[in-house]
Amino acid sequence: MAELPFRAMVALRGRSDDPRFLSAVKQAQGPDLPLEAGLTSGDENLRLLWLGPDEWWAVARDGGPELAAKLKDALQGVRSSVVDVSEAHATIEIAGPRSRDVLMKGCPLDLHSRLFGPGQCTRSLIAKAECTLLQLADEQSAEAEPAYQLIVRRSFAEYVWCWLEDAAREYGVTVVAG
Amino acid sequence: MAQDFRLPQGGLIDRSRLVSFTFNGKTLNGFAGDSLASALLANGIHLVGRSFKYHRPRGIVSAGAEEPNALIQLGEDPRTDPNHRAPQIELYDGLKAKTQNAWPSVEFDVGALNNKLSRMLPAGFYYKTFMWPAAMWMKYEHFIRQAAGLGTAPTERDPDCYDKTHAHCDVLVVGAGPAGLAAALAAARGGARVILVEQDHALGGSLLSTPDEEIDGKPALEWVAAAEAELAELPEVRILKRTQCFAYFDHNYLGLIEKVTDHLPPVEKPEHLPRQRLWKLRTKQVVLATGAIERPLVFSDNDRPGIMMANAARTYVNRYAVKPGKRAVVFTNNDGGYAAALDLKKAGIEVACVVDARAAAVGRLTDQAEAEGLRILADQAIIGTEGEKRVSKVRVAPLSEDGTRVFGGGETIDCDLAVSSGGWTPVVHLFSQSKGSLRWDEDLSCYRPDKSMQAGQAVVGSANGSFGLAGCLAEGDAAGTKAAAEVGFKAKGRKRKAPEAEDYTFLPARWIYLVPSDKPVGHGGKHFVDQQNDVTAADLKLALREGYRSIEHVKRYTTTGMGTDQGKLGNVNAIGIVAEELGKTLPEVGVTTFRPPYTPVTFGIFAGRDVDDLLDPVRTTPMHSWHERNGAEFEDVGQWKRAWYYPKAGEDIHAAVNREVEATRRSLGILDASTLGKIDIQGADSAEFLNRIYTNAWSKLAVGRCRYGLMLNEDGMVMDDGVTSRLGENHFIMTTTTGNAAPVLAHLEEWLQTEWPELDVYLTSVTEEFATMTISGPNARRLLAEITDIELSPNALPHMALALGEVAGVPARVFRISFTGELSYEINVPASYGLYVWQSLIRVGEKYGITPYGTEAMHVLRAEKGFIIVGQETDGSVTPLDLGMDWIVSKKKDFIGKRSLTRSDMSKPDRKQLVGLLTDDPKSVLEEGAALVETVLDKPPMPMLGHVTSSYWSPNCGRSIAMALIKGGQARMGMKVHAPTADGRVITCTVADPVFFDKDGERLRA
Repeated sequence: MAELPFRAMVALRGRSDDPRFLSAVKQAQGPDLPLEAGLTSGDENLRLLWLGPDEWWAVARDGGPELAAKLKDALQGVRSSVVDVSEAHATIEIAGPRSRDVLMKGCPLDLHSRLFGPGQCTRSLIAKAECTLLQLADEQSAEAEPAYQLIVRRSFAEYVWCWLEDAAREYGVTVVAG
Repeated sequence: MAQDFRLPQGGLIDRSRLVSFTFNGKTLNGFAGDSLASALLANGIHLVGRSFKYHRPRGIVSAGAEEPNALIQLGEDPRTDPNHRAPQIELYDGLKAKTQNAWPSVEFDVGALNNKLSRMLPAGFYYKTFMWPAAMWMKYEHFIRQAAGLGTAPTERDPDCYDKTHAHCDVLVVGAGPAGLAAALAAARGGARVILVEQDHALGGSLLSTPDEEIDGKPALEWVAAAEAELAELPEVRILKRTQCFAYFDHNYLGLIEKVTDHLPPVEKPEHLPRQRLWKLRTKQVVLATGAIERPLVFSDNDRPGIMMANAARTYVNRYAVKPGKRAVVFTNNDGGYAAALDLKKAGIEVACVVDARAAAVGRLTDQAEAEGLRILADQAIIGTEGEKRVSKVRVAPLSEDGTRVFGGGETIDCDLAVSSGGWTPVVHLFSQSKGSLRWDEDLSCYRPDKSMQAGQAVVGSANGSFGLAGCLAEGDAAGTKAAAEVGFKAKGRKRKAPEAEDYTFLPARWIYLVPSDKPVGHGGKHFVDQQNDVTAADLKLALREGYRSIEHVKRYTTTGMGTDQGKLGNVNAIGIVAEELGKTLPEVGVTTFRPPYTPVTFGIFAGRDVDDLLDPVRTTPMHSWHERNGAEFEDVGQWKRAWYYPKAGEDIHAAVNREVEATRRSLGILDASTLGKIDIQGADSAEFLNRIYTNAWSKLAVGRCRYGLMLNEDGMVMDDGVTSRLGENHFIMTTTTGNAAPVLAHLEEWLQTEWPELDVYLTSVTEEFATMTISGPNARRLLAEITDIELSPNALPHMALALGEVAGVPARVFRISFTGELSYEINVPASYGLYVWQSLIRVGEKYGITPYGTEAMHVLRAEKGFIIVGQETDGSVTPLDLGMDWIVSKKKDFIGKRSLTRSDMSKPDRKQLVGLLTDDPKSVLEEGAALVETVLDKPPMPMLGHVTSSYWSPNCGRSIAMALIKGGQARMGMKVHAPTADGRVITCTVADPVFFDKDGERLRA
């Protein structure tokens, strides 16, 4: 388990059937906006998360205000909304062969690799907190040792962290620097 | 102590591992692999409890979940829980078991007097005796609970850890007997995700007790071992042993309790593992292979220790290598009962005779018994038994042709073991819980699953009334194959053939639900139908005589089939006896409802880890650590912790709040307002959207300006309020009350998504993006000016305006808005800078005596100004007009709730309206919630005018102030109302304007 502090998170809204919106976003960020439910695009440097038919998050290691400004700039005059929500969230990474078992204790969704695999994201619950959950698509997130990121609202971070640590106790858990 | 009743060889026990345990304080030995019941029997102990009502000595009856008598209080306080069935308790070293229902001891039981007085304890006894006076019920209940002996709860907090988890699979198989194993194998071979649940610690089900069975030409247990090994190899299969599927809800949602460490000696329990785990399982397909329970024969005095089920005796002999007695009588109404006779004989137990209720003793096993020279008494029945704490004799007599009478007083046969078999009852509990219907099978005399109400559900094997081994295997195999195929998993290659075995059942049989005696039922001798609840055939007949007809009513009146039993043993016999008495068929009488849990579960699994610090999320603001360091008391607002007040040494809440309120009006206060809901609104139609949401108009609000808004529900009642500000032409920021942040966003999204999808508006919650602090008081501008680059002059930043800039070097949004009536700035900075900016303001504000104030002082400050709090002045039945806020309700445009405001009821003059109250005695502070009346009567009830919504001591007014909702309040200005208090005093007040301080608002516009 690790906390990934000071991440950039920008809430992006717009119409997926609006070519101007799609091209403006691509021009500003690089990766294509994922248009299918639960998909992500990009990588740790900049990742785009599909969260709803007209809702995405752009997530990066840091630089929330800059990322928001860049997007806002590119989307001038296009029906859209860009809001920096970096400060409102915390990111926790949990990885290892039993990480799915830990999440299943608190998440009612089926996270089996046949249904939720590397590069997918979803919104759900973890215990009593809302969370955005994604499984990393990187090599480190192999079937045998999946790696996940949980994005929770700032005020729930301590609860979720303590809950995860407790839930992972029976499997053995190590906290590492993010 | 020697295990005198242990067979010298055989059984599935590990004789190399001696296990020591205590039973009612006495130390005994058993072997690893024993159940508590088998270990007790190995030590010659049959007497394990006293019955519920009559306190009759009772022995071990069964070898499974259906055990009615051997209910055990396991462990010691605080690690103790009741209602464990001895046959289901896996023996471990150091196990401490106690008889549940016996006082002072199982050998000498005071309550046994009840048996002598049983005439006074008929069915419905509690209803009849404890009916009146009603006030005595609490005392009766105490007495009943103590006498009932259904276990005791620990007195201390449970030290164990429980866990719960969600789970999903393609195919769930419940029960790992032959049918379940065949189903699991067939389903899993194609790659489907299979969970196989078994209540026992070993797979095999009935095969564990029947060593002579063969599958595919091999001993059955070899087939079981091979099946388990194959399943264990498959990556998508999970085998959950020691796990009971206890509940089956709609849409294939099931509850499982896994006993993770219950079977381990206390010293060996791994500290990191939970004691038990709840599995909340969702599955696409369900195969129920829950087996069947042997049905007892209801003969006179059938409840003495040493009288047990025929198949249970087989299990004790074959699986546990235990002799349940030395000289046995077998009583059966079917061919299957002879299996017990043969196995008992093989184990060296003398079989005195087989009493066979059938007119013609024929059948596969009957013939075998005859060939082995067993004495068979055909067309006869046990008509009575003797023996105080252990059966010592049975009496046997010939049956009449119709089976309702016997001839003569019978032959007496000595024995210390009497076993009975009355046929088999499929375990349809889970199927029935899932709303599947049952049909009566005349030939098998049992209820079988009929129509399923769940998609992808199958019931197989003896649970389905298929009692032959070959049928179990074939049904399981077919159901498993079909279930996997339904979810897209077919085994590759040539279809493997289903495992094969011989097929025979316990038929032929003669169905008798009530075995007659030489005395009429209820006159000497008791025919127990439900041993756990002490219900006899006579009780059932009495219930019918007293007019009960529905089987559900009979069940409740007599308590048959209730408790942990849930009709496992006695259900069909009870229905059969009722049917006979009413002259109806069994299906006409119907069947009672099966309810979860199938076997008792602990409360612990439902709590899981939601205890202590993990009970509920505690949400804190970015400045929380400062509040803690500065001695704040906190108030819970939903899941938030908000600073309530900051007492200094020696201050109580009143002193602290008075100081905070005064300091704010005199110089400067600072409040953490981070919990207020904030919604970012963007899009070309944002102003139009706000027009529709709020009662007032928004189109003309200039960029950089703020406006107070009131939003209504569809019913016209006040839902929320707050300040919304225009950040840009198409960009607003809305604030909501702390508690309503999520409901308001949901309300807005619902209208946007379902009613107005054409609007170009996007909403984003930014509540936690910002740390929010309010500085308030005459020195607010002076303080802020020192650490901001924002121009603060009244012209540059007037009341209800906002500016962007830096505060303490941090990017900030500053709103000049006021909830205190003072000159006030609400500063919003990125959340992670909140603590820094707060501390900067405190440091710079020192020279002004800056005073942190909590929510309580905020309440007083706003009440002095007559500002409402949604949820305090409103309760979902209050309109803006009731609040005297018609000034904020637009007459021109449409908005949510507008049409409701035109209902005639909304303009009634006697609606409750918001007013101020001034107590005649200025020192007297009304209680919030106090009832208000026009005329005080001698005693309640008095016609109520309304109630006090807010009431405080106002240091700035030097008197008490209050707000209230009273009928026709606005027309009562200047009139008197009275608040009678609980201690008999009456506080008289004058109705007044709710604005008590700075009525013209000069201070906030300063």
